[in-house]
Formats: sequence, C-alpha cells, structure tokens
Amino acid sequence: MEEKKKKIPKVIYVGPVSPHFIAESIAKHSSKRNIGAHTIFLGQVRNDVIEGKEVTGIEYSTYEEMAEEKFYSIREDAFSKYDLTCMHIYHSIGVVKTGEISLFVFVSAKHRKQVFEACSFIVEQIKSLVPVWGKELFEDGTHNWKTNNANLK
Amino acid sequence: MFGELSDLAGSVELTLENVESTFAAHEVLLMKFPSFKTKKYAIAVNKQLIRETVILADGDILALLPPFSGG
Repeated sequence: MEEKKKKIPKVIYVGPVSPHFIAESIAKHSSKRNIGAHTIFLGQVRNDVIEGKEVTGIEYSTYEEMAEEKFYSIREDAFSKYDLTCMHIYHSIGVVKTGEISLFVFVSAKHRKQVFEACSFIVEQIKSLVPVWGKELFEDGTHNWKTNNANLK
Repeated sequence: MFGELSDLAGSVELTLENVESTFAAHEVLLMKFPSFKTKKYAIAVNKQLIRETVILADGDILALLPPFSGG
C-alpha cells in the first residue's frame, strides 16, 4: 500500500488522448508480471444533435487545483476499496473532437472481478465529483454547456 | 467562476473587497450578475465545497461551480 501512495500522478491532459498513447500504456504493463487482469474505460466524444445542430467537439475546462485533488482522492479510495496493482487516469482539457478520446481509465489487478468493479467505481466518481465542464461545440460557431446525466449534486 | 457562469459573467476571476462571509460575497455577485439567479451551482472556498455560510478571510478563494460535466 505505501508504495502506491508515493506517486501523485497528474491526470489533466491537454487535448485528446491518442490511441497510440493508450497502446503504449498497455505495452508498459508487460513487465508487471503479477498482473492478471486489466480493464480500460475510454470516454469518446459523441456527435449528439441538439436543437437540430450536430456536436463537432467538446471544449473541456477545469478548476485544475481542485480537480487534481479530487482525482487523487478518487484514486486513494479505489486503492483502499479494491485490491489493485495499479491505476492510471487521464482526462482531457481543451478541444476534443467527436470520435476522439477525452477520458482514459486503466485499472490493473491480479484478478478480473476487482478491475471490473474498480473501473466502474472510478468512472462514476469522476463524473460526479471532479470539477470539469464540457462545452459542446457546433459547426456554426455556437455552443451548449453539457450536463451529465447522473449524480449531480 | 467556471463553465457557463464564466460565459455569463464575461470573466473568470474577480476580486471582491470587504465581504466578510460567503453569503455577502454571493449577494455581491448576484448584484453584478443577475443572470446567475436562474442557474444551478455549488460554492467552494479554497477548493472545499461548502453547504452553509462560511466566514471569509483575506485571500480566500471562492469558486462558483456549475454542475460538472466531465468524462
């Protein structure tokens, strides 16, 4: 447990998360031989149609100092609730176009049950607790402030 | 001010003088930006969400946080 607490990884990532970066993250874990299961959650920007206009991308903004603190406490909570080997979270800020990735959660453990549950827990916590806002951009230059469906306080 | 509120206010940051509580600060903001009255948001002081009025000291950072929409 102590070993996991030493690093405070930064989560906020400027621009979309590239598939190449995700592939490299997976590759890096081949040296960790005690891992038996990974789960990956990828949040992709969707082309919702709002009042007849199609979303072309989302511009994310954040209260960075508070967001990094929240990401860190979600991380700590997940490590204490589940028996995990490692965990990586990346969330985009700035413009992410439709079809691109804005959230990458990567959870690894010895066995599958832990990673499925932990990954779901982490994603739900991020959606409800982290101060990030998405502005949906339309082709005509207008925008709409996005609202998440669940758990708004 | 974040998200939609920064749009409505036309700015992200401002300094308030002589406000001794979050209640007083909020009143000043509503006077400046009446459109906030119809909006839903939480208030944080120095990155901690507050549920009740808090006394403010010099240099405290108040943040108005609309519903989060990350992910």
